[in-house]
Amino acid sequence: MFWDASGLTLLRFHAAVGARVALRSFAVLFCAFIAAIMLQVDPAGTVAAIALGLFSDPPSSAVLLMIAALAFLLPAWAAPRVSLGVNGWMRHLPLSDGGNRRGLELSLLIVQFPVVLAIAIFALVARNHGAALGKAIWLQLAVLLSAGAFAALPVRRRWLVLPIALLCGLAAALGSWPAALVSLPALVLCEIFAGPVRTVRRRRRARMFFSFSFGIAWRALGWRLFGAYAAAALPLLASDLFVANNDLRGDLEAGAYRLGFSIGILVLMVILSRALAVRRPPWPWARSLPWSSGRRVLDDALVLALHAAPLAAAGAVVHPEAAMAAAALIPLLALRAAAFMRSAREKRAGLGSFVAEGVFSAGLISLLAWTAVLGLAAAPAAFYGARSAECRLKVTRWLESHHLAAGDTLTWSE
Amino acid sequence: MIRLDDVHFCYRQGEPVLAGISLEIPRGLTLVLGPNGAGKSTFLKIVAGVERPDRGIASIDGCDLWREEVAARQSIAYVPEQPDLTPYATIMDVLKLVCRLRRAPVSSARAALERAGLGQLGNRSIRELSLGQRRRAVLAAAWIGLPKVLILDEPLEAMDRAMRGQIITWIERSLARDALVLIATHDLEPFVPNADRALAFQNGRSLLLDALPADPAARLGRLEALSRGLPAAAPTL
Repeated sequence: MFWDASGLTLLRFHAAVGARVALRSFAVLFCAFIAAIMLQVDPAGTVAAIALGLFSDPPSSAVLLMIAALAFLLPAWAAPRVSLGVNGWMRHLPLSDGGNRRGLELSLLIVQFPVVLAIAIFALVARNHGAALGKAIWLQLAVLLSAGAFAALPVRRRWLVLPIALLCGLAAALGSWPAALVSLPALVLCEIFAGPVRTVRRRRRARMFFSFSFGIAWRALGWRLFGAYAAAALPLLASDLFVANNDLRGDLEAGAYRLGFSIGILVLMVILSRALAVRRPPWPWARSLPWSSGRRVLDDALVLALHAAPLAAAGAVVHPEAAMAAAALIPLLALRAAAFMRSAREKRAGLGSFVAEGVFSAGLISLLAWTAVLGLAAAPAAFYGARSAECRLKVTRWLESHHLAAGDTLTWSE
Repeated sequence: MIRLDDVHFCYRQGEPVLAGISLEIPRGLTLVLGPNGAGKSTFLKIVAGVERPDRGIASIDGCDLWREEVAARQSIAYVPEQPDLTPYATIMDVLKLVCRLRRAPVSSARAALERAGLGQLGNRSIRELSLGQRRRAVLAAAWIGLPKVLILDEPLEAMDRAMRGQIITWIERSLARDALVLIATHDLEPFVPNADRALAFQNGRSLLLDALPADPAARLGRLEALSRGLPAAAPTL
């Protein structure tokens, strides 16, 4: 039985591991928080505004999203650390898979201690300012923190647990308390069907490969990045002007912003992917190295997605909910762009089909915000499509549009 | 062992470069021969995992190159005829990447660069190097770790005499530790003494010659004949 003495001992062990990892992150987060607050014109007022935003009815989405970001990022950072050895020497001890997993869940929850402490401080501040601390917000926060821990859980059925945890977290952050309440059984199902713990390797190698790919892309893009950002800012500005000069309210206003933000992201991706497709053509020799086609596609998509993130962040300053919906399109657009980069040179339309797909998606989320979730759900299919395009690519075939007629394969014409 | 099972490949529709090649190449030195445009380099690209067959399976030591991508490529060192390293990274960056991918210590990148005579050029982009230096850079990448499958396309081309000697010594050492070496070349003499078999290509057909004559002159004569093209009635694989 899990709740017997040995089960509790295991829980205590994992709790101690989680606490140690939490302490490592605490100092950094505490300093970052203090620095951010002290840089404000009115530090005390800022803390009070955040606290009152969190404990108002309904709570501020911006504050909840901020907490959600920490609730998901902290366990993701900690998972490889707290799971070290779980599948090694410890496996010879008389422990069940379930016991191991629940212990890990506890440790990932404890890792979020700095967030819990911040929430407690905000609660005290809000109470001092006369805010009523309703039960609903506590439920939302509990679901958010649990979803964050589940999302980072390194288990066999992670393909099932991760999307459910992300949806639960999103429901708790953006929805009301009934949405959070509905998420609870979903998290319980995650716990039941998660399967045994798998060892997570720290992603040093992956990071190294990505930084290599990112460095190459960065140098290949060069000053074109500035042009791409300037062009991408135009739809954002246009949507802001459109809203300012028309009497739009509620959903109409959000729809206009969603269209502007997602078109901006699309423009950026089109310019960057075209520049990369031409200036950094596929690298044949690298395909003989021991990395996978999926990794190469993912690297390109990450380069595009990371460049699109500042646009989404700029949008969040103006209209957080519209920016969230537009940001949900980023993975899909980045993966589709990675696929089109591989086939564009063989197609007469070049990136035209990608532009058409992007405009359609942007129009759709502008009219129906919930379709952003469909965009997220379509990302895995887009990944497999891009991977297949990478495999199919005849990388050493001579193409006039890439190689300079002089014959040097390291020099190309635009 | 390299295994190809009914491999078809073409760059343009209707113009097959490899048409239904099935063969098994065991450890040892295999010379890949044939006239210009016969499909030697394309064959090497297929077994190096650079190009994917339109049809059929290419595998190394039982790992399909396009299903178990990382495992199959773990032991490959490929030296292409065109040294196509990215121009946006320095030579040292590329070698460090190879070290990590082959799980070799990063210090071996510096050692390989020194050995290739590019010790002072590690922070240069490939665009700043001559053709010979570019080829040395790709060779340096091949020297990292202890790859078990060497795929070399005209390895002696554009190399000075000292480097030629170094490459031949490296190939001999690799053969001594039971590596599989595939060399596409028109420069036969340096490899004739160590060659275990020959694989000839022409017009999408291939012929694997497992037993080479023991007499050096007869051996060279046979290989030279194959490098001029397959006899019209040669059995194909």
